[in-house]
Amino acid sequence: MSIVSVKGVSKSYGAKKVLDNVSFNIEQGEIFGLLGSNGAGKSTVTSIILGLEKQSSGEVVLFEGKENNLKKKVSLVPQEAAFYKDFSVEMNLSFFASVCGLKHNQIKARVDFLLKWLDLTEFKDVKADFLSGGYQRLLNIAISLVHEPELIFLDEPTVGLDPKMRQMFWTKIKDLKEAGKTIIITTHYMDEAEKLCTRLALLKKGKLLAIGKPRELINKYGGIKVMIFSISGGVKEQDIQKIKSVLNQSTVLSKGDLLFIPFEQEHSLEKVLAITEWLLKKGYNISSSITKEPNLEDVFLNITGETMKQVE
Amino acid sequence: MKLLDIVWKEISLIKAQKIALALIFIYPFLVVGLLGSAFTGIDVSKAAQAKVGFVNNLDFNSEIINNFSQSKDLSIFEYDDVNSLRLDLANKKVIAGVVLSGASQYRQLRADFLYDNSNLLSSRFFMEIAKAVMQKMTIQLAQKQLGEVWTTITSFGTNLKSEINNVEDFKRQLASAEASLNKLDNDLKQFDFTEIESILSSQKTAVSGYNSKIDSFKQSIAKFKTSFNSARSQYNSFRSKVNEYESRLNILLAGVDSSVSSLDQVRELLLSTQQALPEGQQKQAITDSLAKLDALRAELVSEKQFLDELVILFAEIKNDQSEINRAFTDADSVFAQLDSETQNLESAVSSSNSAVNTMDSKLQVFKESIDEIKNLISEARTSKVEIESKLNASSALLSTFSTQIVEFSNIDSSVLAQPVGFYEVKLFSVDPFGILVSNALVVVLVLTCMLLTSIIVILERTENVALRLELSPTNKAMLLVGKIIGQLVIALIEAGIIFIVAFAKIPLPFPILGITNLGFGLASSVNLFELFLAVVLVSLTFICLGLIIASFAKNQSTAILTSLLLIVPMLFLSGVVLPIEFMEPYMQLISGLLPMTIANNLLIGLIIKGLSLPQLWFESALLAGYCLVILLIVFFKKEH
Repeated sequence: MSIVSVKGVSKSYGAKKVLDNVSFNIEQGEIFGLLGSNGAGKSTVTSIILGLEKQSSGEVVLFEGKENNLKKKVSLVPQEAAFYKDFSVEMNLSFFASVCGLKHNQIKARVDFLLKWLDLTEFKDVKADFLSGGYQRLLNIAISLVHEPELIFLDEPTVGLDPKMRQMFWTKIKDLKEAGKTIIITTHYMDEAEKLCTRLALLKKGKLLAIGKPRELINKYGGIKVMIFSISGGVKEQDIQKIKSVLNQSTVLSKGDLLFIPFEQEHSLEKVLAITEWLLKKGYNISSSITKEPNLEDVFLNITGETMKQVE
Repeated sequence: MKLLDIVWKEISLIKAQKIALALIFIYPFLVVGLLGSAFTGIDVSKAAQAKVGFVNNLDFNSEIINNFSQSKDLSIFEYDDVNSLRLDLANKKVIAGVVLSGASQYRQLRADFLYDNSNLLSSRFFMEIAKAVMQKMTIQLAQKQLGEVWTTITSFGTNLKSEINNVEDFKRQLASAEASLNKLDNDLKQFDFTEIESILSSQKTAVSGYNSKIDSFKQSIAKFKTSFNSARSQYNSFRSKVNEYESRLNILLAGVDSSVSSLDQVRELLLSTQQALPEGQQKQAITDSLAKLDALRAELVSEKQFLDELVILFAEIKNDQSEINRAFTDADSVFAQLDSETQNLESAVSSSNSAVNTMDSKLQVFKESIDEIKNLISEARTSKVEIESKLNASSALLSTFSTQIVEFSNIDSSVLAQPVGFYEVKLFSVDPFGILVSNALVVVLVLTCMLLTSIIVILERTENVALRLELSPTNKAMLLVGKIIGQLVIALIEAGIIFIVAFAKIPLPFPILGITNLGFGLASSVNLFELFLAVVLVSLTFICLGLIIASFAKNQSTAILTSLLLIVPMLFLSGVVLPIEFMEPYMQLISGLLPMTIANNLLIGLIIKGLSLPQLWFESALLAGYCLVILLIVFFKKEH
């Protein structure tokens, strides 16, 4: 079932076009990632889908137009804490459960379930402001899930979380997917997008540059592997030219102590060994060497021409 | 250096707050500008524009009325009755009122100065100005009255001097009269009344005795002569008649004898008839007739005796005729003697006449004295008329003095010093604390509702809760109503606390910092239900203002500053802090449109003026209108 259908949506603020003919489709149970730098149009797309903004042209259809009260089916988990910091955890959940239309007798069961599911039971009477950052994020999610939405928007869900907590988040998000929920994530963590999302859309300046499964995008736009040597004192220019000629690679690059050597995947091991030996023979002191596989970061770089760190 | 860095950091932070910075720069201009344009005109000279109502309840015409009505120090509006004045005063059509009453110019007038004590200062200020104007006039009046008294007293002095001259004249006239009377007294003393009296008395006696005796004597003689001559002629005719009577007497005597014998016969006959008749009326009649016959016989017998005596008398008369002739001769000699005696008497009368002449000369002297007395009396009368007229003039003058002095005595001693008594009349029976209750309520509600609402709305927005709420299935109207009711509850609690403090008076078990009671025990007849509705309306208005501020402000600091941007001018221009009446007219117009002014008027109307909510429909409608407009703006404004 198509949960979200965006068809040729454009949005302009005056003369400035922030979305330009964007189309994609999200199926039920998908974890759909929206990637893009600031101003790419992620927030605008999200707002239009949530109904917070009206598109200038195009069409957005949710749940194939079969749902009358979309607000009961859709939820947003903002990046920042979106709850009453002076209320306790339980009070926040109860209040939003009520606002989201749960009956009085349903509220307690739902709140208890969420507290337990997100390991917040022991903090239920704690004032939200006193929770650690990670638990505040959990509360944020709990509140967004209080009315059991079908379509969940997660805005940078793991920013600032420690690895353990990130893992936990990923687990919970996958649980939601397993439960049949459709999730839309905006994130700039490429690993998160790669591991979590079933599909990704890459936006730049309001245009949808690419859409597909992470592996497909990497394969398509990720490019080649790169061998990176860390050599104290750097490599002489004539030796770099020698490597370029041997490998027939004009993109060999030296910067400081680092030496970048791109190569095709099928010859990687042999070439690494041969180059390592030659450099050692030449008397270079190699402190370390790694091989960098292409990933979503590369995809992003290749498509948008900028790194995600630059975006940040 | 470190300190400088910190200072620079602080300035930089402030610089970063663009709107706050803008507001911070706007504030001084705004406050100074507003207050400046509103209150630059505050000076007493502008009081002449102040509208003061005036009711003339005097029972007489007083010039103070004209002076006050035409006063250039105030703008005076005349009213027919106090109630109309009170109504306009309550509705602020006039700013102070004067009711002048009094029954007489000799009593202190009463000037009641009415002022709207529902505000702390303004009406009283203008009332004091009106009082000062009236005081100025009363001082002028007092000066004038004292001048009049002074003129009267001066006139008294002049008139009394002329009066003293009159009294001197009077005294001189009296002395002259006394001298004249003394002279008269001497003249009278010299007059011998005893001599005159004795002479007059003897003369009177003599003259009266002589005259009457002579006259009666003369008359007696004449009468006697006449009688004597008549008697002589009668005697002659008597003698002839005596002869005739003697013959007739003899005939009569024979007739009487015959009648007596006839009577005896009739008697015998009647006596026999009487005896023959039985006892009854006829017998009695005969008895009566017998008695009458007996009486008649006795009379006839007596007549016969008389006639017998006359026969004898006639015989004697015939014997005396010679003696009578002799007596006639003697009488003629007596008559001659009487004539000589009469001459003697006439000479005696002549002597008496000379005595009367002496008496007449004495009487002439007496007449002159009497004339002199008459002159004196005439002079005395003239003097009396003169003195009387002067005394009348004096009396009139003294009467005028008396009237004026009585008039002065009518004047209250206080009137000259203070012709008008000043009394302050508060339009509403409320103490200053009562006024503060409504002001405090408005200030608290404006701060609470506007600031709290705007802060909470911004808080929800900055904490992303607003977004969550917007995305929730609950509709916006319900969220808005819920928010407003929540704020309203807080506002009502605040209002409740103020009312408890204001109206309650609960004794504390022990004094705390000298306070023995909780609350001020303010007396008010306010309708609690209407007051509740009014507080709800006022709170709603300020909550709505808070909502609209929040809908345009991006963060709390901006919201607070913007709230203050509205609150501060409203506070200054609403009449809560500074009097509206001191503002320029256009500012007063603006002030009247401010929600805080309207709220203040509404609460003052209910709590202090004792008006009902329906009477305050205009203020209520304005506030409700503000609420409606703001809610519509807030509801339809798109959130980003």
